[in-house]
Amino acid sequence: MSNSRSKSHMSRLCTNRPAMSSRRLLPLTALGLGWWLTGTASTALADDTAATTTASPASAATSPKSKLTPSYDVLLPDPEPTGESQSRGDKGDDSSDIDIADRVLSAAKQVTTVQEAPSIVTVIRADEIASRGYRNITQVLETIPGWMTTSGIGNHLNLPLVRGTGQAALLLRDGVSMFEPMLNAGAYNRSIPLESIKSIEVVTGPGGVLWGANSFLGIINLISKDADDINGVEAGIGYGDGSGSPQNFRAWALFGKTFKFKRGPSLGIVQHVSYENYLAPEYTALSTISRSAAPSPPGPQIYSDLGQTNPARAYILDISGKLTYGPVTLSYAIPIGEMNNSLSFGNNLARGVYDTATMMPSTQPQVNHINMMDRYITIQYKSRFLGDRLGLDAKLYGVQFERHLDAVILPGTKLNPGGLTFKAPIESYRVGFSVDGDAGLPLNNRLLWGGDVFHEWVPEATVRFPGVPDPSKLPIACPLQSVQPITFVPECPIPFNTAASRTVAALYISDQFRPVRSLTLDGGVRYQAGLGQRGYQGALIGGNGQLLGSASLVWNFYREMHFKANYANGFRSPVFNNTDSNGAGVQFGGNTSLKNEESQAFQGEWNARLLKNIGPIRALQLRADYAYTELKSLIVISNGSYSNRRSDDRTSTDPSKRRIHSVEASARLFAGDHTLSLGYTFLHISTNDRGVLRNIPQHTFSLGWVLSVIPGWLEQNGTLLVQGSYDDPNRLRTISLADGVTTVANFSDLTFDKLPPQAILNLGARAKFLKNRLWTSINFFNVLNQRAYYPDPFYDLAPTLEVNPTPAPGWSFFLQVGGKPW
Amino acid sequence: MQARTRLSGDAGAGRLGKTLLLATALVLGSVSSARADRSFDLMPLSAAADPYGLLIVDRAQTPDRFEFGMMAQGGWAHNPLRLTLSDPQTGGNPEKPFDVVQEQVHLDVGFYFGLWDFLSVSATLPLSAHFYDDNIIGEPVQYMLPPGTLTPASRGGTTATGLYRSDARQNVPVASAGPRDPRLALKVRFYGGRFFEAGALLEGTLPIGSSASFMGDRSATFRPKLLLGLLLPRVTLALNVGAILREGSSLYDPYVQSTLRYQTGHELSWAAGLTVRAHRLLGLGVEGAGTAPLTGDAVSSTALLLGTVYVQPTEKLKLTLAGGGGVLAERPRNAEARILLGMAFSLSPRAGGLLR
Repeated sequence: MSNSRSKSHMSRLCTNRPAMSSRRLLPLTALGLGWWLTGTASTALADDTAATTTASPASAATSPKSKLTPSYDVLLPDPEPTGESQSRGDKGDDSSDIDIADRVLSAAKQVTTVQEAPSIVTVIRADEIASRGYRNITQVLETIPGWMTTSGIGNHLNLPLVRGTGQAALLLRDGVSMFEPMLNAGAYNRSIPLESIKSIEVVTGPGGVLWGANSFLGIINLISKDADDINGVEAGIGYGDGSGSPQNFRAWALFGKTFKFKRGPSLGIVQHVSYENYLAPEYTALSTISRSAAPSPPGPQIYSDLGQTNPARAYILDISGKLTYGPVTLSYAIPIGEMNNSLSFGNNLARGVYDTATMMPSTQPQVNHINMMDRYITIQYKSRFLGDRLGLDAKLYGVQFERHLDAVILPGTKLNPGGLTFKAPIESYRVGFSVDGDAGLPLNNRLLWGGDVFHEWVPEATVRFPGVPDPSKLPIACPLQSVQPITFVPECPIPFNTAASRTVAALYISDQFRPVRSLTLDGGVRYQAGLGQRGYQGALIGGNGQLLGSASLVWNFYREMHFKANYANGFRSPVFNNTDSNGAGVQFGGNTSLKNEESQAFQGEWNARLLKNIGPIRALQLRADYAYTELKSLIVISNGSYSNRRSDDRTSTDPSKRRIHSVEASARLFAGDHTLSLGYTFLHISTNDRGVLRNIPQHTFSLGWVLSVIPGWLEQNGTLLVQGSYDDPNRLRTISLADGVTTVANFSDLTFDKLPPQAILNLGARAKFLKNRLWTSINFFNVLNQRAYYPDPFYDLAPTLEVNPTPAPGWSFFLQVGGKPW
Repeated sequence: MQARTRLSGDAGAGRLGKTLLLATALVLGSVSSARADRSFDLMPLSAAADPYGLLIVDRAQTPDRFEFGMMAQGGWAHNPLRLTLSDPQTGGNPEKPFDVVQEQVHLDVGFYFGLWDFLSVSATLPLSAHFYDDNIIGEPVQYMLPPGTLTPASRGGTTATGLYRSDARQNVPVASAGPRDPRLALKVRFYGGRFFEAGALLEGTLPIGSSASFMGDRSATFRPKLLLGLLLPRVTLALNVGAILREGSSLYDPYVQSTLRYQTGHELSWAAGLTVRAHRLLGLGVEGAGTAPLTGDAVSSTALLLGTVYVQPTEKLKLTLAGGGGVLAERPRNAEARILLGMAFSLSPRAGGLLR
């Protein structure tokens, strides 16, 4: 048996522990802000694949390379390290064996490898993030088989899709849940500074037993750098331009140092600061004059002339860090900013403030944002006892989720010069405490146990319509002043949602049993109860509890080949926007009787490490998995409000269901200093109430590479993402009015836009000088300027809020200079 | 009938199934009767499966066992698709030739890997950008005002133009760039002597490319080739003979929809090249490639002739520059001019490098 295998069995308690939070399918579309809004967009991504892991340059340099001989067994692992490594025993932190089969913390809450983890795991490390030129978290995610990204509410929301399903992933920051309990709108945006991330661990498939609510179909754990990972000061500054990301300036600095004292534990300090200033992508599209209000706007959509986006500048300042003193770590992140976008509800344009004197859009840019930022503080205690047999990881945390809306509903046009915008300062909160433990037991058993309790809440938020001269003309019931003369309250303040809260408590236990060295069996259960005002409804035990179970088998059936079989389930509870939105305002109606959505998956995986140290080839990693996933009681919009079932078709008595067949495969080749990765995803999704879903590409290929052009000095990188075609139900303009400019799309003018196959090519180069103390990089994104469109994750066959496909950004570049001076 | 959009939802699943049944279906040799069918690839030639080949002519020589390499080929073509169609400016009459695609820029990226000394695999992902003649491509919908006064009963409506005329209505215009059909190939060397070599290339394409914009076939294709080579000191003569088996496509005139304008079906394929190694680092050559139709009515042959320069700055790197054009330039899919630039890199090439 290889060294890596034996080492991985020495599991350690992982640092990460997610809070169990609740959430729900964000009917962002459902954000019902249907209004008269809309917009259209006419024209206008990266990849590669995701493979499992990346070897560190250091380990690459030290890994032995054998010469090719015809009799060589290509499956033979590296020669067993002798001497020193033997003496290291099971610690194995720097083992050359384990470098490529990277370690995983989040999947099993213990140290293992991607090959042996009991679920489908992908790890992207900091060196890969840097060498590939990724600029945001979504670019990383879309390289992983089974994952893609889309955009909602124009380009306000970046949504990762896992197995074609939106709002189905649990985002963790160092094991703390960043699940946003109001809208389930994760902050997958520029507010996450990639330079402070040590690794991104992604689990594809449900992870309910270990991670609780909202690990519905996937988990993304962002693990931040420790002081020792930095050991000095790193900094970078860059500028980019192009229609896909105009006038983009960014600067950052990262300090990390461990101070050792004569007595007592050492003190580790990490401090990160970054500032980014940018414009949202440019688009040219038709401007909307008017449209009927939500829910389910059935009236016509009336368009004016072509307009160009002109949003206000956006900025993000991020201050984050951590202090580690012995077993205690204090982590925090305080991002602030104004994230103005160029598209809004219904793909409406932020085309600039309209000048009533010239009856043209002025050059004054328009504020149009949904600020999506997560601010948190965590105190963690982590230690091991009884000669490493017992581990404990406890976290106390608090998170503030800011989702401030100040967005365009209608741009200014000739017929409606003032346009219409609205504001809603939505904030939600979670505080909680979690404990995870592990214990080595006799007979090759390892027990994981833990629990957590948290409270999440959202205060009442009010929507206002600044600049509306006459609230009586708004197609909603605006409040009246209580004094004479009776007039409408200025800006028509109405509740966006009512205050709501929920308290959740959970316990889990999971055992890993190794009857023989080549076989690992895992099984676990979790009980989670949602209590209080928005406790879980109709759940299994006690009416408010959710019982989860999982089982897996990992069989090392031949040398470095593994087979996994896995059953896992999960759930997500309704978010407060589903239960407590104000249906009489700008939202779809809330429903306090909503049940939890449930997921389960049967998954099988084959993985292998081949061709290790054959000629110039250091390793070839292969992975292929098939999964059958079933989602049940999905929250949908039916008759203008949220429901677990549609009431508008023959399946009205059945909960809404989705069945997903998926195949995900990846290959990663390490050859010399070069890395090549390939990925493929096949998806076939059917529902019980809408038939086969055609809104997601059925086939997605990705190719990624990093070529060492001048070893140690110059690298060339690239990513190619190819997506098959897919459909998007939209409305077609069928009537032109007499002025020859105004056109109308009626509710009944349904068309299925055939979105063509897309090829998003990113190319970049990175040069390193002065023993890596200075580097510079340039990356070009969407170099083909591919006119691409995002999949519509909501796929409403009667298009309401989104009447045209959402365009993806065009080309852009970003030039950066950075270094590590100290 | 509309051009079929591939790999979309259930239609894509059906397409995959078709792939599995392709060998059977292909024997029947049917040619589709779809209208305004744009599901064929403008690029009748493909780059060699590995750099041991010439630029567009494959050789029987295979990479070493476990040899890994990468390839990229960029190119430009002028008038790669000329079709005689009814003139939309005159309401459909008279017909005249249109350069439907006026310019094409393409980039093919791929890699190859030696499984054994005599067997290798390769894969290529081709991309293209097209510059269309806007007059004939048209728009998916056009907003037409009614003649005279606008009345509630006559408020105008939409109509599609150009090659969109028989398409389903939609908001999205034809793609001007995108992926073409990816190619997967298995190469086997039967014999490799001092003066003669023989092998076969079993190549297939997957229907990923945009069938709505001349970037891919409507289904998977199978393209077997016999590879022969005569090896003399400093001189190499390579010959490929094969076939392209595919589900055909038929493009009817968008205005006179009973008139068949262009078809693709099963084809014979050929390629030949003569190279001379002028220097340790430099080679010169002439390459030609083409197709001859086997089935269909409105089909035509293609033939391309290129002059090529091969440069090998290091044993691991090969650069190629070629220029030429279509010998049958008046026929569809025969670009008047082509420039190709190739680059190939091997981590562990055979002794002597990539250039024979």
